[in-house]
Amino acid sequence: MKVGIPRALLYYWYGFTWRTFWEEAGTEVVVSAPTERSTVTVGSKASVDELCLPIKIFLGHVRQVAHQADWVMIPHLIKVEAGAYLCPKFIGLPDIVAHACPDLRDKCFTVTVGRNHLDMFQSLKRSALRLGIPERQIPRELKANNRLPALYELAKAGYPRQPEAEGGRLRIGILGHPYCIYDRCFNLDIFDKLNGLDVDIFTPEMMPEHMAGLGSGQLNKELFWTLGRSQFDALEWMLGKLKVDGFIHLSPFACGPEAMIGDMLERRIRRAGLPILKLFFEEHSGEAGMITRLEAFIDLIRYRSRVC
Amino acid sequence: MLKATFPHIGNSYIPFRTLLTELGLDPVIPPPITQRTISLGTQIAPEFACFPLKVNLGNYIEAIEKGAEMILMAGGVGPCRFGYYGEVQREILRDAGYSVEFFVLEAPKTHPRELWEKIKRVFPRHRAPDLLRAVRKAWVKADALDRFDRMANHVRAREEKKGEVSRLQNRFYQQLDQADSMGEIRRVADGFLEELKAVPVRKESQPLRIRLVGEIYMVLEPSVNFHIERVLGEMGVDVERTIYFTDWVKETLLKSIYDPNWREPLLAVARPYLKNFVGGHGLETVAHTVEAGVNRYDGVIQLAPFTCMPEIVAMQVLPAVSRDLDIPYLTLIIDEHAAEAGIMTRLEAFIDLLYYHRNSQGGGKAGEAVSGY
Ligand code: SF4
Ligand code: SF4
Repeated sequence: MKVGIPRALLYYWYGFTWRTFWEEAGTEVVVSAPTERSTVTVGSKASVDELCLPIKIFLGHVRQVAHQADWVMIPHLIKVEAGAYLCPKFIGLPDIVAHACPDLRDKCFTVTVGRNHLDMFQSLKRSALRLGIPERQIPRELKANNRLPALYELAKAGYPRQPEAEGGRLRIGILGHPYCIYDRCFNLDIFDKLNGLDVDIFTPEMMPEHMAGLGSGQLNKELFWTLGRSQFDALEWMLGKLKVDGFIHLSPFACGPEAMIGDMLERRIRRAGLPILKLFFEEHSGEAGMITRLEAFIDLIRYRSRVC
Repeated sequence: MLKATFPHIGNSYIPFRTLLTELGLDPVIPPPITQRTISLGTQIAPEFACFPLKVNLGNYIEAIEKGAEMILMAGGVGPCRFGYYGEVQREILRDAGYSVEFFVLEAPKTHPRELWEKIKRVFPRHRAPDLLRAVRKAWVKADALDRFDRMANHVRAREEKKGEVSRLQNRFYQQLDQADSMGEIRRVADGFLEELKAVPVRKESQPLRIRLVGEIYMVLEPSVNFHIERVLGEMGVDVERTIYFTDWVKETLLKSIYDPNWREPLLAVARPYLKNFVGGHGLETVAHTVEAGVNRYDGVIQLAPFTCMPEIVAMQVLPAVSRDLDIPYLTLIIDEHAAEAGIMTRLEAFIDLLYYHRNSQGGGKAGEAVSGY
């Protein structure tokens, strides 16, 4: 039996965990290939225009991996921690898939986490039993590592980079949802471009785990989105510990939660006296515009750090 | 007296005015929403924020210009954005240089006393009998409004003299807003309902029946939905709005406290198409469209703010509902860039399509009489 996993959305957190589980359960695992332009085209053909780019990309991956596998796993992540949800589109993801790819309904199965049971392992186990995998074959415990896919993508791009002897490079904090930061087709390979500009970058997934909750805990009202909390935590780490020189925020065009989170992050960054570049991505975003803005932004920071 | 304001949503300013007055505050009703309101809000709001959040901001600014010192707002705990409006709006207003206090009403997570303390601090008349009387009075007004509006849509589609119902409605709103004692409120409510029933109607007409679904703010606030109920009604269409303020209070606020499964019936109706509660009114949009199909309505209109997540999930689902149940629908996505002319053209084209659809089908016969209310 071959289980297909779409390399999209929170694959960049849970991908290795999912993969290990299904492999240990005795199935063959196929992860869809990294996003390409064709993935985007396939996904957006399947969906209504109004959907955000990350969901369109997800649909593209579903279609692609469906060719290579007997089953396609649809992660249905309603809630992965107490007190916080994922976006409504995650909550309705199985419905979106069912209507965007009606021909694949019999091939897709869901792994539902939340609203009441928040344990990824139990959710995977329930799905495995439903697929007819005998209980004795299902692993007894799960070695979860929810950063590996992110760190792997970073390593592929050459980060973290070797420390430089003297002077030091500019330090840039990257904020955004994991599927915006680590999907290199989504963000037009921003890692590569930053590499060329000789700066060090830091992402939320590089933050030491014990700092989780510190930044988001300072908010006036508890934030009810996981992907927002992780950014406020990272912000605290980047401002306080790392003392970065500036921020880049990557978000999908017309993303609901990011419209609000991004705005609140920006206000805090500006209050701290630091510059921020907000980049929005959609299907037709062009590289040329992004490179110009990126270069201008880095120049600005360099100039500021020399003056101050 | 503390001057307090709140965002507009449809005619709810009428019961809110009563509520705040009874609680000993001086309510400042934001001026009616105009292009200025919208552009004031849009200028300081994040580009992709919910359209309702932007219009709220415009209301606040215009109310502050009229002297408001405090903003009252509801909260929530997700999954949709509404629960965080207050926080974001507070920061936006502060950074834009407005000094105003925010009072976000929401169920406290850890310290139930805190909410009570807050209430005691803000509302001068907060003893139990005061609260009770205030809520009762406001509720009777809200209920009267919803009963009138429900029936007004049926009558408007059949009125002999165009515009009569809308004129009556405006007079009713004004007088109800001024009514003070319980007896007077009841008299106004009953009197206008009788007047509405007496509006001369065309007996022979079989108007198109359209259900209005979508995001609550866009459905309830005529000044952002281009007065869709009135416009359609005066085109001779019987519009059934699926969201009413009092229903929303009863369900989302009250039922959800004592009956955690109150959404089950909606889920059951939507299940073949949408299996999850996706925040906002996404589930309702799908469920009410399914019902409209089953009950042979002529069509459905979905109103959604640009970037509205629950409604976007519904958009992915509605084509299947429409196909399976043969129910035509129209989605209107609205934000500050929406132009009246464009919306009107699309509405007219949709109405033409519905007449064509009805003639080729023979559907939409039920529900001719103005009854049931
Ligand atoms: S969080 Fe934003 S990008 Fe992610 S699914 Fe929701 S709307 Fe799309
Ligand atoms: S339902 Fe739509 S308009 Fe309301 S909070 Fe959610 S996204 Fe915003």
